[in-house]
Amino acid sequence: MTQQTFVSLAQMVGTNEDAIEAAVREHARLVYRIAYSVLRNHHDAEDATQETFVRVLRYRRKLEGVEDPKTWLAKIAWRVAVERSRRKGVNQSLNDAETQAASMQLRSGLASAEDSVLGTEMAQLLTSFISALPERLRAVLRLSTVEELSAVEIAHVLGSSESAVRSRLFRARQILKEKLVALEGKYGNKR
Amino acid sequence: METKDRDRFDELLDKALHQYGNVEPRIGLERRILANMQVAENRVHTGFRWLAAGIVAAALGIAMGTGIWHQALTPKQNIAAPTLPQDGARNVSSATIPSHARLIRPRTSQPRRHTAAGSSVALVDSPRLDQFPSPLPLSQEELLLASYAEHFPKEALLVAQEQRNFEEEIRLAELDAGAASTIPDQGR
Repeated sequence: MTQQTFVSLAQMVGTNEDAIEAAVREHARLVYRIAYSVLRNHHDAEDATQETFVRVLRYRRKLEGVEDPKTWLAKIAWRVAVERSRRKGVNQSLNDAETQAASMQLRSGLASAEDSVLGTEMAQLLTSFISALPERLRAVLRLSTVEELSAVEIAHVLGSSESAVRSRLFRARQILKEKLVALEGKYGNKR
Repeated sequence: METKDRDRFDELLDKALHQYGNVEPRIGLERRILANMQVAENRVHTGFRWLAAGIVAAALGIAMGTGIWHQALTPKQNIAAPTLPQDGARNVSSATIPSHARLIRPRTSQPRRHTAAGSSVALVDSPRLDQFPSPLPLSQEELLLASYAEHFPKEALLVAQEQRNFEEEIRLAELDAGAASTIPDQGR
């Protein structure tokens, strides 16, 4: 799979349009998801995806030395998304009413045994909780939500070890869980 | 009971995080990416073309500028010094002048008229003249007179003496007339 990816990406340097198209089709979704995990906006995520592939074109001379093109692409996508996020400086915190609505969705989610879809407020609440995490924990957690990336690949993207990724992920989840418990307790007692 | 709640929170968090990352791009993303890449590629090629055109234009400009400069330089090298003074120190040939002394600087707007030590005007070999300005050739009348004096020297000498005496008399008469006109003024 990786070798095939390398071949298809390497052919992008040439004039084989089919190879270019195949490479874009193979990786566009991954790149988009990485961008969306940071930017939380479809429009911005698509722009970041476009920019990522344009950068691939720009750096295509370095392509032959790339061992794992999937991780290489993911790293570019991550950098592009983080740069855009810093430029934009989006405030993802919720106001009090939105937090209360999110807590209601949280309680209904806890009560339901079904794999139901969480509401908008709950999703926003989670986003704000993740945004409030320390940078290193936040990066690992965001990339872990991208299904296509394993812990090893996340480690490559972030330039750290696999064990560090796993421990940060555990710590990030722990913090989120504590916050959810606290929220449930706070608004649940008011009821 | 507390452990069961923890598990429920874990499940909920898993579900929330799955939902957090489970997004699908709008339909046609790949097509838009490919189109955008094509545009970017064309833009790069266009940029290279403009760069190449700019380089060619700059090279042509430099070549033309160099040609014009050489054209401006060439006539100045052919200008001869009008007259060298009698001073022997300045009677130098171009062979004895160091090469840097013969260079003409393009920055000088007007050509220099005087030669001096370290002058930028080129010096060219030219014959030293005994008389300035150079003597004109004799006219037809002067040639006839010269021929007459050559063939009849005595007669010519007599004619010349007569002419000189006549001119002397006229000069004295003019002097007498001038003296006579000044006497009444003195008497007043």
